[in-house]
Amino acid sequence: MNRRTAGLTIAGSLLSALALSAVPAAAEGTEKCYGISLAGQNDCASTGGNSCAGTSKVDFDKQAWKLVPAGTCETTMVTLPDGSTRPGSLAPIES
Amino acid sequence: MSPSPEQAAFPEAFAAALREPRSAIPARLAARPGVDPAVRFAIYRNNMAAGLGRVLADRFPVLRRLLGADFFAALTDAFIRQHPPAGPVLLEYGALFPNFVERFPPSQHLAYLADVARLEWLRHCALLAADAAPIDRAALAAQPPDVMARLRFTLHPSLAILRSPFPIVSIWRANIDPANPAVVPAGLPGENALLVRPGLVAEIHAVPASRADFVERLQAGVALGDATNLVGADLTAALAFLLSAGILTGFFPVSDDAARRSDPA
Repeated sequence: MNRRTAGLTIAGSLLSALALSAVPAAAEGTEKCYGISLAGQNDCASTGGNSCAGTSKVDFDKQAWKLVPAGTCETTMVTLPDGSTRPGSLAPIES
Repeated sequence: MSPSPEQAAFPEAFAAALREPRSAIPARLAARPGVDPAVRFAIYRNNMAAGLGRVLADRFPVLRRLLGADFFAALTDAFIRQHPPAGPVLLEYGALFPNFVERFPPSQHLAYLADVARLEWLRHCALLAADAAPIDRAALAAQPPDVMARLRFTLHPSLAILRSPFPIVSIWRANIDPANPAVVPAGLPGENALLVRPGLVAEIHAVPASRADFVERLQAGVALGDATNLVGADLTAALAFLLSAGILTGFFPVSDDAARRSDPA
């Protein structure tokens, strides 16, 4: 079997695996919640000031998210340093 | 004003007295009038030991079931005295516990206990690891077939593998539910545990050694085509497992290999 054939065999396995496998079940019951994570405890963000896990430098960064149980994000209230409160958001919060 | 030698030695003496239940209270300790400082100090010392004991009981529930509450408490008392927390963050407490279990003379003949403790510690670490979204399946399927063997993947940050000569996954599963009686499944071969937390729950899978090797190669950044020899004919099943268990979280497109991965979000 030459290198190209071997490569296509692997591609066939990958495509079969994609067709056969389910989306991770545990990920289905969750949602990304922005604006609730503490500094250094965020997961990843797609926009703005940081690129990935644990890099947020401020508490309740509006661009940083954590996974939370589905349906709980927008009822999660955080108290900001100025004493005001704000709910979590399913999308990055505009400044 | 710099502290006197006596003042400088006080925190050390205070910490040492906290660890030893029968030691004298630290010198120069005072309480409000009419109260014995030894009594107050004993309460503080007891609360610290009890709190740390509860942390370990919470973190190693299967080990506690296997040993029984009394034996486990004796074990954790000994551990807490020898290895008090190195920092203020209790979430990090217990990393040294599995090795301590391995060397604890009263249970040394039960060799599987230390690996059960290691599995429970890894499960705790998986719970604390960063979240990551599953791989973009549509983007992956859209890659040209002739470059797929050259793809490299990013794996979930919570991923961990523990190889054991003991059936640790079977033991863990049989004992994690307090509704079932504590049992140690007998006559089973060793197992390789793979832990990953795709959502909010840390999943523990038992995987063949070849599949564990395959996952570790991919995690090390080896291209798919250079790792497939490890699983042979099992490749499709192995890849389906990696996808459905949420282990794959991203890939590096071959065209801009050196650049960032396809979907950092």
